[in-house]
Amino acid sequence: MATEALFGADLGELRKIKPTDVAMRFAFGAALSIVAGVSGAAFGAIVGGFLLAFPAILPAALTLVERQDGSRAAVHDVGGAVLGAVGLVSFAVVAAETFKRIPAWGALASALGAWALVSLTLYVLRATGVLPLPASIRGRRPLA
Amino acid sequence: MSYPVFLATRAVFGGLLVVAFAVLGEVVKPKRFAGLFGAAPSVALANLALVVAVQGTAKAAVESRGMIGGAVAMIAACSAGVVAVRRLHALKGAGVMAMTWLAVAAVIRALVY
Repeated sequence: MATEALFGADLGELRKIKPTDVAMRFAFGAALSIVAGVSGAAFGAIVGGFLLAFPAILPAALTLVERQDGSRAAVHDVGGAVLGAVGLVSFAVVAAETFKRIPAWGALASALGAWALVSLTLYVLRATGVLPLPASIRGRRPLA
Repeated sequence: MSYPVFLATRAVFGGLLVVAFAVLGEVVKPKRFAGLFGAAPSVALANLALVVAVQGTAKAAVESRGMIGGAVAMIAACSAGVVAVRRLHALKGAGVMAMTWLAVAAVIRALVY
């Protein structure tokens, strides 16, 4: 039975990325940034802040993964996004707490570090079986 | 910096960072690890950096406080997405995620902020 590495990279995947997919993701990111900016100006910075965590990027990513690697891979992709979302909470908490205390670049770097640390820790715990999987995504993991 | 230019700059920065994290997500393996990048703080990082530069750290701190609620809604949306994508496939599943995020964010906004 083949064991799956916890981390890996395949630069060959870069060749599979289509310009239209890149353009679509850029458009989603740009549109969400504008909506967050306009909403922040109209309804206050809290509402604008909420929208910084809107899952606008995932639809494009999920449809692409499903098209290339199948439904099961898409389910695993969104399962990974749950862990990334927990990391996103830590990003926001660290940013909110540090912006007034340390230089802005340090606050942003700390927040990004918190996202990476929390997300990766949860990922390792789950991949090694320490953190149980939900029944909906239990079973053989796709190697793709 | 005028407001339209500020918005346009936010859009360009946000789009570029989304593309950067998406490319990273395409390259890394396995899929569950790549999925982490679907919830990367790409839009937040770009927008907060620009808010700091133009409007100051106090405004960025308030936006970050709001983002905590949005990120909690994101956890709920992605959790719903695990079930929805499995049953309805990616496109409809993403729709369920967006609706879940809006509903949970509205409740958090009303109860907490």
